[in-house]
Order: sequence, then structure tokens, then C-alpha cells
Amino acid sequence: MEFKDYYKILGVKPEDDKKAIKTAYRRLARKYHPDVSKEHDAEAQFKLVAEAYEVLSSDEKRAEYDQLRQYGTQGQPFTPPPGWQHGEGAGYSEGDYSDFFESIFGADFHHRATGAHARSEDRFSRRGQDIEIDMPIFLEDTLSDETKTIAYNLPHYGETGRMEDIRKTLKVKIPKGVTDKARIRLKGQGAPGFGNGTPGDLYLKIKLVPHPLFDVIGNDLSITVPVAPWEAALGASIEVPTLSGQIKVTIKPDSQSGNRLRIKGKGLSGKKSQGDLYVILKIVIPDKTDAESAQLWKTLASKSSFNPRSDLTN
Amino acid sequence: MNDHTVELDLNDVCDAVELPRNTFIKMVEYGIVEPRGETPTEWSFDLTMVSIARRAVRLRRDLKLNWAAVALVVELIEEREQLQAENELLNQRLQRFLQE
Repeated sequence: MEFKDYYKILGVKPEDDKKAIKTAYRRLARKYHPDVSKEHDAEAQFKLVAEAYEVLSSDEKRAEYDQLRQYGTQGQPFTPPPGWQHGEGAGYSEGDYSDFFESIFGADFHHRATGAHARSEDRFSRRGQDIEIDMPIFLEDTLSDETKTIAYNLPHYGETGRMEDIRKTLKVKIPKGVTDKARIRLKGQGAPGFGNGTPGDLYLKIKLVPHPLFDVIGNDLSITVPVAPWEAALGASIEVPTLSGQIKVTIKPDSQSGNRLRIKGKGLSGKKSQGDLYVILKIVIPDKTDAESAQLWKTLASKSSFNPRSDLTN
Repeated sequence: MNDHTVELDLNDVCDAVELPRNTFIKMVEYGIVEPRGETPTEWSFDLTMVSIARRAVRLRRDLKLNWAAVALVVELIEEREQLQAENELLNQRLQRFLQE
């Protein structure tokens, strides 16, 4: 187990007063709070900061910690000195703490149960916590009901009474037409309850995986399709991919780059209606122009009166 | 076993976010979560609301905010998420259109 220097974590000095510690905590809490932070390890950082504040903001815990601190250095392996036992009444509050914290202040789970709960039947029973995880889904998988296997970390009470994570797998039916950010609830698949408490629920938050070809706009999809200049000029029938296979699309003569064609019903399945697919044309020129093609372009150039920059002239 | 169109009533949602009823009603009064239905006994909350409520509880506890500030933060986070998603989409569409 690693020693944690709570003063260092909060960026305060051991002689600093409560007010300085509170200010430091508030600043770091805003910086690392998982709901607002963009830092990649925000959640882990926030837990550390919250743990440090939990200890340093309480006179008893801080005194106890200060005593222990002489035996350890930040980041180094740490074992409490022989015979160490945390003082009675140091208390315990709800949270998810490091082994280091629990070795000092105890992880006696009877204390966990004292985080009073609105509808607990007795004070030693409480409902397990809900768990929320992201569920990445490919666009193709939203077209029909799909069964997916998910794996997640589920806390449970180990033999010592400590909360430990086990890896749990579940089969989940992802209903047709799920949308980005939609939630699916799996009742009773969250953390176990304590005592007679029922287990919490598992919430899956759907995240549509970005597709290499299609963009999602509500229920609609859009795809950018390259066309040759002559296809755009003369009109053409071209093959376009959809989520459910290729289809033929007719391009009108005199089509422009950026023109949008709507293919009804080829978008995502929505709750109320089926979305559409928008085909956006993008005129492209061959990478290399051979002599024969160059000659044809030259003929066209000499005969055409088209001025693409007429709007730019003063 | 799974239900994605499910809605929770006031008691269930209080259980899910571990808040007493009165405190949860405050959250509704501040407009942090919006129930369907008129009176508390008729209220129902979809699963997105449950997630928002849970986020609000975390923000209040961890950042020591009052409900008015929580309401503002929750609203701003949602707005930011929306703008980010929109920005990503526009960026992606632009990239598809531009030549490399």
C-alpha cells in the first residue's frame, strides 16, 4: 500500500489552517470534478482530493494522520507501525476511499450503513448504489434488436467486509432504434445492498460510435459522396452505400457540389418515425489528367462561356 | 429484464439518488429535473432525468454548492455538451468535404 501525503495532494503546508485547506479543496474540486473536468484522469484525481479533504478538514482525523505521517513518504510503500489502531470515534463517512485511508481510519462496514437513507427499513440496511456505464453502439446495431455482452466492475463485499470490485458480464438486449445518450436500466444489477437492502440498478448510457461514412443528425444520416464533374454536369445514376446495403441514386443534370439529396427512410430507426439519409455531392477531379483528357478539357474551356467567379468581380 | 422506456415515480427516484423526498422536491422546484405530471404523486421521471438528478447531487455534495448554483451548473454542462456534439459534427462534415 502506498503512502499518501494529503498535504501535498491539496497543495497546502502541514502548518496551514482549516481555512487554507478549505480553499485549496474548493479550487481542486472544481478542477477535477468528474462532471465538469476535461482532465483525462479527473475521477481518480478527484477521489484523492476528496479523501485528502475528508482527513484534513476533521480535527480528529488530521491529528491521527499527522501522527502517522512521520512514518511515510508520498508514493512509497507504507505499512502502519505495529500496534497501530485508529482511535475510537474517528468515525467513518460515506465514500470510496483508498486502501491507505481504510488502513488508518478503518473500513468497518457497519459504519458504511450509517450513511442514513431516506427509506431504509432499519439503520443497518441500505439499498446498493446504482452504477452508470457508457455503452458504445455501432449505427448498424440500432436497426434491429441486438443482444450485446457487457463487462463492468461491480463492487461487492469481500470476506473481510471491504468493498472490492469483481468483473461481471451480462447479456443485454439493445432495443431497435436506441438514440445517442439514451439510458437503459437493468434492475438489480448495480452494487449489492447492505443488510436487507436491495441491490442498486445498472444504467447503460448509449454512445453511438462515430461511423467512417455516415454522420448522425437526430434520426437522419448524412453521407458525402464524391462525383466526377461530368456526372454532376450531365446527371448520372450512381451507387451509394446505406446502413443496409447499396442503393442506386439518380443525380440530376447541373448538380452542384454541396447539393443534398434526400433518400427517404434510409436513416436511423426512430421512436416515432424512420429517419432519412441525406446524400451530399462533392465534385472531385481525377488526381492526374492524361493527355487525352487534357485535350477534352481544353476543348470545353475554349467553347464554354462559364465564369465561375462572376460574383467576385467588382 | 431491461427497460429503456421506463419511468420512475417520486419514491423510486428518491431511492435511486439517495435523497429524502423533500430535498428531491426542491430539485424539481429549482428546475434541475423536470417531471412529467402535475402533483408529486403523479410525477414520473425518465432515465435521463435520473442521471441528471444524480449528477446534481454529486455537484452539490462535492463542490458544496447550493441548489441555485447546482441548477446553473447542470444547465451549463448540458449546454456545453450540446455545443461540443454540434461542433464535432460540423467539424466532421467539414473534413469530409475538404480536400486532404
